[in-house]
Amino acid sequence: MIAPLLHAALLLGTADDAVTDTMRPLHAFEMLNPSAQRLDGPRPPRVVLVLIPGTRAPPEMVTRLNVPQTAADLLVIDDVKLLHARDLPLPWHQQPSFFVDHDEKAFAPVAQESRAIPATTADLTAFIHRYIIHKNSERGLDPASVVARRREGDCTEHAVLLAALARSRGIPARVVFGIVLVQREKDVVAMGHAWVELRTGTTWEVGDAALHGSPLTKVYLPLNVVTDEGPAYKLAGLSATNIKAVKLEPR
Amino acid sequence: MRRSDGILPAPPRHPLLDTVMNRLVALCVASLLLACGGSKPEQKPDESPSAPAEKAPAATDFKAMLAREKPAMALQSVASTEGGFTAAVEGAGPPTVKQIAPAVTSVSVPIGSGTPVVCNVYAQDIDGAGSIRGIIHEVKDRVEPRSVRVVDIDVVRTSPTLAVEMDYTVMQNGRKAAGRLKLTSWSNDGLGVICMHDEMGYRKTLQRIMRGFIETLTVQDAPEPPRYVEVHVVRINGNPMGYERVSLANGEHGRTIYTSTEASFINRGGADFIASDDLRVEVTEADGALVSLVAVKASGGEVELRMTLERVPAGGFTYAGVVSGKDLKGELPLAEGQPLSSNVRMMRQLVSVADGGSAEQKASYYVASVSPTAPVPVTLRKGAAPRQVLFNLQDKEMTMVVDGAGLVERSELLIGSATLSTERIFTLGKP
Repeated sequence: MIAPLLHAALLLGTADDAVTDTMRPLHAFEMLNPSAQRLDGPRPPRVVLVLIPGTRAPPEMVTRLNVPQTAADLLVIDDVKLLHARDLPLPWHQQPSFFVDHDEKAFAPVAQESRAIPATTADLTAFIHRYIIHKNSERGLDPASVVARRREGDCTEHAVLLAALARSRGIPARVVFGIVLVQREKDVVAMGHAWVELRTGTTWEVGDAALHGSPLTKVYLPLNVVTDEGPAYKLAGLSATNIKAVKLEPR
Repeated sequence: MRRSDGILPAPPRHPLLDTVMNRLVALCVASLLLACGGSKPEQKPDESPSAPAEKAPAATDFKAMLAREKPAMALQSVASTEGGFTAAVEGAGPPTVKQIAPAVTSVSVPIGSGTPVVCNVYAQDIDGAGSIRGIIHEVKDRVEPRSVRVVDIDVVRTSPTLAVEMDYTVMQNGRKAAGRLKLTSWSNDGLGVICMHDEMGYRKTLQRIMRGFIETLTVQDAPEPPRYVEVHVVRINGNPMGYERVSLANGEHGRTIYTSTEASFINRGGADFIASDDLRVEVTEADGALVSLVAVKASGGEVELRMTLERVPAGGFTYAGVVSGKDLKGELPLAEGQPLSSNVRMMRQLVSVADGGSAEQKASYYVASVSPTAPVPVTLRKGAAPRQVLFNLQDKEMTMVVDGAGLVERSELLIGSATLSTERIFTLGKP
């Protein structure tokens, strides 16, 4: 009676891995002016997020842009560089959890196969991209141990497995839900997406195993870091879906 | 491009039946396409004495092929001793009935086209979405799926049907050919049916044949029907993507058994899709107080979640089960003065808010797939339109319109740029 829409929302709330010329319509956020600005120009555009009326601003936007949670219907990001994480790693960024469960037996083959891989964001990301064989959207939002076993999934499964691999190496890592803007030949598309922030050195870096190898210019808009990695971790996916449309403006 | 003569058959394999509560069947229906589509690259139209096969339209006239339908045909008797059922099925000739696996009977009926319609009958409930996913997975190694989508959701004999079509290409004699596999699932009280047809066109013909077949199915030891049934279709941006069937039945000691069966089949673009099935069974006291709850979710061909809540004598609930392969067990945390809402209790709360008796109600609601070890706080507020209730969970606001009994007639939820909605399309009995 009540659950069907929630179940459906969970299946939709996460994102897509295939940024190609054939975009998948369900995860494409509406772009109000897809061809007006280019992401790869000399001066990256200002990004305007149109929120669903009555909803709150996404948590990471509140934190990183220092805007009130009860934002207006629009959220303006003058410079996407402001969205880079600057916080210090916390103990849980390196610990196993229900969601990022590299302590499970099923994760062992991932650790085994990646033994010789250097502990850099690029190398770990490339490994996970190769490790997940079946690139599809059949999985809703699996924990790392299930991804390790099935070797299947979209961006969310790539992200959680990358986070697990990083943590198993002692590298702070966290899963981020958000929107990725992608510059195609003639237009920009906005897709629901998931990636990882890793800290191999002194700053957080984006690790995007799903889109690894894509030559297209991308801009990451973090909406929600998965902070509750317990059995209710899927709730984080719901709160990343308050954006109705995206607009680009010249700066 | 030419038309396909059907998908080549898979080697026989037993279905994998999950027996969780004897209801949720995460099945891979393996060999079911043995009779679906041709086994030879250049298959001839099925032969029947009563209706000569029609001549196929020109090879490239896809529009004409897709528009093909068959007029009503004579009813043929079907009897399965192993399957324990009898039925009548429309066809151009006598059907072939055979048991293809334990508790699975295949009925293949010629319709005077290139391939027969095949209906597989299971002696237990099947997953609406997972059963179709299983078949698609079984054939997709041999063809190149191009698109997979839900085309219709209807109701036959108090239960929903889920109709899915897969367009594919396949190499035949060195040339690429196009085909369309049509699949429809149905399940009700210990019986499941999947009808298939591997040929372009005949969409309405398949639906008509399946409806007639199910409506005439007579099963031994059929269970007593529930006192109330309703079916909702779930849509995304107006397009069907799944259903929910809710039933209310009389339990022991004046209790009510609330059963919700959901199937979601979402196209994620091209041939990429996600299929998911949910089952929720609640036992409640006459006043709506929850006694016990079982929730099961299957996706990707396996049971993803299985949780049970049990009321304890001292008050409160324990939870136990498995989520993503991990055992969970403990005491359900409940907010002070906020009892766990069963769906029957929620109906009363919805009525109270819709009627204006209370401006706002708070509740604790358990959704195992979202939060298996703790209920989620929800708020109900009266909406602006008549009988409208705004249901808020985690900053997501669902707009509902409820009837006089507190049952949801329709609802809507905005997720990003998409609109999810439900619409009640069938009711029978009194809640």
